[in-house]
Amino acid sequence: MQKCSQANKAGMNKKLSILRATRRIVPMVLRAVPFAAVVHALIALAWGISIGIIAPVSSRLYDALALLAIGEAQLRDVYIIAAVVTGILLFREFMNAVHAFSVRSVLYDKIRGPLSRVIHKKIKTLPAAAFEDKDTLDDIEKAGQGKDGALGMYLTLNDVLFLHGTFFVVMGIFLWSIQPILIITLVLIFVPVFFSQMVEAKLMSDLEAESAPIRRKNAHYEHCIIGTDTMKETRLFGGFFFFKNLFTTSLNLLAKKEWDTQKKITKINLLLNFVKAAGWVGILVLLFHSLMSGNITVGAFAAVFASIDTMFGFMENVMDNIRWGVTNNLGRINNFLNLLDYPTPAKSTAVPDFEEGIQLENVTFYYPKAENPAVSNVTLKIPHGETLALVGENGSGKTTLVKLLCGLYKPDDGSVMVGGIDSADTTNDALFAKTSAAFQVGQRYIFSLKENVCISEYKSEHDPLPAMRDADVNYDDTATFPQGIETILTRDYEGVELSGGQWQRVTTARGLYRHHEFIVLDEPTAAIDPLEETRIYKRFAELTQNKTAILVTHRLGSTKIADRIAVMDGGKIVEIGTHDTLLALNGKYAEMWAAQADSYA
Amino acid sequence: MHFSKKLTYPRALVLPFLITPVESLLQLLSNIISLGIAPLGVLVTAYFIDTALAVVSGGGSPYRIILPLVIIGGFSVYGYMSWPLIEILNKRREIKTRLALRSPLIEKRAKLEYKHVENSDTLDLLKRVWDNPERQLSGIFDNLLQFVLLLGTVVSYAVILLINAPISGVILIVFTIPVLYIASKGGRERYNARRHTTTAQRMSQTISWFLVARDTAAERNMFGYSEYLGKKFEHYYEQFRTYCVRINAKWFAKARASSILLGLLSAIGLFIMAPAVADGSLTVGLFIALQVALFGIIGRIGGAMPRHFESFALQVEFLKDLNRFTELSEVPDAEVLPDDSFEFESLEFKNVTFSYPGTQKLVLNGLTLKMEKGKHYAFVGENGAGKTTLIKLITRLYNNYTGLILLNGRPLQDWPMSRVKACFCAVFQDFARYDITVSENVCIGKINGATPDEVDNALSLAGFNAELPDGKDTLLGKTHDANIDLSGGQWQRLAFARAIASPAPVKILDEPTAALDPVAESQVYAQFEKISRGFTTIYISHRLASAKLADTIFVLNEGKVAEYGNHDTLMERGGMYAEMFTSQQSWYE
Repeated sequence: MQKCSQANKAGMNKKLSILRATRRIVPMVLRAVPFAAVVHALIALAWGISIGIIAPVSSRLYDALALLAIGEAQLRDVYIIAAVVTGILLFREFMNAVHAFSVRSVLYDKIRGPLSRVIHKKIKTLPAAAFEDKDTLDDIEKAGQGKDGALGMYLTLNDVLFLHGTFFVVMGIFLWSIQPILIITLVLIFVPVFFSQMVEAKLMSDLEAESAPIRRKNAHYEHCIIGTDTMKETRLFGGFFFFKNLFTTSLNLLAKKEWDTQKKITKINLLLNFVKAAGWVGILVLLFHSLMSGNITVGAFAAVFASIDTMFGFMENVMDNIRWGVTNNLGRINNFLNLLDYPTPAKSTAVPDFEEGIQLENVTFYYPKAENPAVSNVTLKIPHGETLALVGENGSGKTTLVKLLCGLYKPDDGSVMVGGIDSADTTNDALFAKTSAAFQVGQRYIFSLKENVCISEYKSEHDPLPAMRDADVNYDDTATFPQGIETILTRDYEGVELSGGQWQRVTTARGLYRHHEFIVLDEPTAAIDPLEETRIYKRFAELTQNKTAILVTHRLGSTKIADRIAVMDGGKIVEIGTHDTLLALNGKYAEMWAAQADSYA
Repeated sequence: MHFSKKLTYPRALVLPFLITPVESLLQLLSNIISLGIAPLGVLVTAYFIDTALAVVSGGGSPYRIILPLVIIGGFSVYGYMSWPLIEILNKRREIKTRLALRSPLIEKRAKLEYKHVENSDTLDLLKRVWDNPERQLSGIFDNLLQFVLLLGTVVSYAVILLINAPISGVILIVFTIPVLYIASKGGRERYNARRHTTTAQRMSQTISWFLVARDTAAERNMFGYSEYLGKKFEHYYEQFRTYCVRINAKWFAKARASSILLGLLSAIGLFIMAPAVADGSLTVGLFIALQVALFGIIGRIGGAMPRHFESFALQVEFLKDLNRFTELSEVPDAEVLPDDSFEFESLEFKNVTFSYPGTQKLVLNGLTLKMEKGKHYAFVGENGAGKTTLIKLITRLYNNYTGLILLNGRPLQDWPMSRVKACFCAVFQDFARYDITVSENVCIGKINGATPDEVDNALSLAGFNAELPDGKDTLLGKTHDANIDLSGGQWQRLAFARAIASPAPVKILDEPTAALDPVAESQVYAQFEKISRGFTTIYISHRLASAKLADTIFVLNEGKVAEYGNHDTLMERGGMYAEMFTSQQSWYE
């Protein structure tokens, strides 16, 4: 039997079309930065026109010149048109600069921030268990790149439509106006460019599919030699040549694949570029024929001739942009949109009342995509004010159960009532209003000591010092915290680096700082010296009086401060009761106790 | 190739000719041809237009156009057909350069003294050098080539102008100089701006990570700080963004000023050339051809010139980084294979004092102790008491200590590396997870060749019992979808199997069991002790229960041996060990 959490049911993999992506992303961008987006479109439009308009204006200049050469025009006429051409040229250069500035400095960063916030806000609504699902994590990780992909796609579409599109429309009108048949020029340009891009894109994506796994292997073999976690061992065992051999073999294989593909691409491009060159000559013949039959002027002839390279260049640009900006991004954009499509469960906002205790009824929980339940069919009642110790071997399900108890994980089966509130049906804000925790692995925030503690209840402004004292954070020891509670806790920002034990105390202080009627302490002393451990546990005993508390530990001795002890094994609670009753039971607890006490005998 | 000599900019330019002589020469040749084609193209275009004009104004048979058409068509065909060939040439150079460079780079890195590996400044340096070094190196040649090509094209246009309309030619040359100057300044500034990542940018990235990461999921949900950190993110992001806008505005103004200036120049050229058309000293065709060529190159000068200068600046910095990397000190024979066997007698520390390079704190401070063949030793003590450092000295990862470490009575430094490797093997706290097959993972332990029986034996002694589709030949890890990833516990057993397979007489366990509960840890150590009968073992743990088994326990405090002896002696002594032990024991009374 396999159960899925809500989030991963959303991991739908609808095939994403360019159209669908456009429909989602364009409104998103327009909502985030409406003004900048419109301005940018106008910039691209103006630039596109300024490039396109040069051909018709030049044709006037050349006509005037031809007349000048045979003495039928005034130098003044030429100067006027030359001035116009110059003006357009300067405008073109100016718009080029403005466009580049607008893309790289204004629009790109302006959209990126809000799109990041879209992701942050979506992730805020994901349940904690979703982060145990590999597919969800994949979506989240790639959503960051997908956001950039979406951005690239938007900018590409903007340019293709307003810049390149405008250019070709202007050129098209010009060609049509001088002689309709010349429109064929655009076809002669489009066809070879299009096919050469299609073929190359196909070959390159095949190559990528084949070489990506080899590249990953190659990178791993390199890591085996020089990675910080592997280097000591590889060096000591003399594994260098072994891995270097694997490394070189995979590198050669990669090179061979790349080379084979390049050979294919070159063959096809030689053929298609011959077609392009033929198209180029074809346009020339067509032009000359039109000139000879008197359908176009000398100026138009020269102006179109001068624009052929620009047209080829722009067509290649369009195809390139679509390939790199849109087609190659679709996969990542899909991850981004997938993430946004995860359902946001509608929730009640009733706040728990811990007078009613915590109740688990036949609770079963599977980690996403797991075959076996991590917690199976647990029924448990924790009355108000009780301190419950949760013990068991590694992998017995302690941490999972504790996350279910406080409401972070929602049961797949059965119900969890936290203070009379159904945990599956309540918003985080309401559910955790009176709950706090010190997790086994506390996060290390790159802020000050004070903020690291107060982040658990950023809205309140009460004094963090008592919580720090209770957790044994020696904030006034200037050797450890040179700036006291304002000391930044990372060397990256001119602060200090704490030891594992110090961090664990900060994590505990964080949990204690938050206002709570119910608190979870998950192995709070694993990285702390034996002498201090004893002291900290004694303090916990005082702090948890009159409060509901759960203490996860594998040090059975510390369970003495608990009112009751629950023993977990294989995802089930196998024994529950006071220390004495459990010892008398002579079961799992007694066995573990004996083993541990024995090591200290 | 080897990184023995310093790689200066000129030497980096020669490098492509050493690695890929034929390809590089062809590349040079094709650039020379392109340089010739640019001015010739202008002349041919002029010829073509002038002929067409002559024909249409009744100056002879339409067939006169055939010759210019063939020539201009030929240029076009060459242009289009040479492109794929240049592309494949580039690819070949890239591939060959990668094959030639990667191995020596890795070899160099593998030999680095370990102090570099644990130094964050060096790690930053390594990160920069490792960012596609082959492309960076071959880019030096390419960048110069393209720069010269662009500059040469401008010069060749100027020469045509000089011959046909001298004044315009002089103006173009005179004004190109300040344009180049502006471009070079713009390039350098852009380089400086890009290299400088701001605190605000890094802050916003890290905060963004807090808001989406798996590690923070529990705290984020419970403490509900998403909005709070979101505001912080917006603050830093906006700070970073406005900084970028400011820098870029300056840069764009500079870079584009040059092309606007050139635009004006060409305009002046047009005005000056027009009278020459009127008096017939300049043909209409040449006028048009020059105008088109000049207008075309303006955009390239504004866009490409500053980029070339930026690349120069980047490349000079890259070469500095690369040289800094190649000058990092190496361990002689770091990569040698261990000898087949070693007769271990004793290992002795005499008044050893050590601090990590660049730090003041004495991690070891007059450490003196002796270990002998066949015994089991345990090191206990608080975090930071120097336990792990000791192992790094024994395995010769660091050698900048004072005092003496004697292996079989002879200074450790004097032993060849192959002998030291033959003597010690270790399972580290962050043991390696190699994505190769199970049996290969074990064979690393006996690199000179383990028999299948030895592999099986090591696996079963280590308690490795993962069920795998291809048994011992199953590829492990995550690098490929078909690979099987093991649980943390099974990886650990595999690391133990590696140590068991090793013939080294001294086996070191440096807290590889940190993730286990105390009872499980004791079991692992007890099992390992059984396996390693006849060997000498060194255990490191901050859990006292596992130390009990040792023949001698060394209690480290502040870089010294505070006390030593077996469990019973130490308990009787009533010192530090006894206090720690009693404190933990008290919970079980």
